[in-house]
Amino acid sequence: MKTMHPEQQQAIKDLETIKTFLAEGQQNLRDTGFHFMFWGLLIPVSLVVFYLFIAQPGTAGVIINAFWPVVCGLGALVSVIAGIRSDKQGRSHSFASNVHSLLWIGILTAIGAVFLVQMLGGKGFDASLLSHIAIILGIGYWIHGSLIQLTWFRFVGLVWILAAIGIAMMALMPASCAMGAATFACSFIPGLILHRSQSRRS
Amino acid sequence: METDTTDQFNYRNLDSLLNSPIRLAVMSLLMGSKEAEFTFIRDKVGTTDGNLSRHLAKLEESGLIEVRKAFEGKKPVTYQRLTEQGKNALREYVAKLEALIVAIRDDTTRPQD
Repeated sequence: MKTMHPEQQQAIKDLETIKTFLAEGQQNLRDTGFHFMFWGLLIPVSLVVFYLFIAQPGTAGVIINAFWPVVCGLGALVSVIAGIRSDKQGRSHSFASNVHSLLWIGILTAIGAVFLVQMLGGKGFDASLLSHIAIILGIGYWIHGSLIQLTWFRFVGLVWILAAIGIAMMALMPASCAMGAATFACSFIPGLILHRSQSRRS
Repeated sequence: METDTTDQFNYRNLDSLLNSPIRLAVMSLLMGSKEAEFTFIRDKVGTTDGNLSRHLAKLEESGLIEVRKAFEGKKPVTYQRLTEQGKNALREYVAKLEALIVAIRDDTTRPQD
């Protein structure tokens, strides 16, 4: 029976090291929490603006209907520009970061499509639209939590799903308030936690 | 006990730069992530700032990695990435390891004298 040469044993160990760290590298994803904090503030603030200044008697219907597409469109633009800037700085080029970018592009597209379908279907802006958006966000947060390997973040996705169920049972006004509160609690706060943990790590 | 002293088993001498577990881990990590920040590498590899700096300096001097300095706000950060030379070095290293594993398989399947 032949005994393995020490160099052979070392070769197997080296291959294991390479395999392990190659996989670790592919999962490299730095999340500064910027996008979550941004959306977590944008939506609640826009909601307050909407009910205080826009959804008032005498406001033209076209302004009321255009408010959310304009807010979300501008928000998406800021997110895309920030994402491109971050990409150019070379912060994230791993497999995980590519999946992450594609995931959120898909989520934003899905939300836009749901909004369009709802409007074209003549249902208008109602609680079920907010509920559908919350479900899509819940899926996004669940997958995002898996990508950044944070279990607590995945559970934020579940909170979104629970919020979606609650929102679906409400009238528009309380549903909008619940959506604003959910956005702050499930987007701004997790974003802030990510941001602080990144700052500590560095 | 029978040992083999052919050149293929001395592969580590040919790649002295990759002869360190930390440098090998760093190179593999960078191969997977394309570019990685200093603290990410430090945390994954599980070493100290000073130790990692020394290993990174060796890899940079040999042209296997390149270092990019940037600022995040007012905070300086450094990013490491493999050069083409570094990628080729790691590929060649893996090829040698694979050749060695094949040699082991052939040795163990060959009928004993």
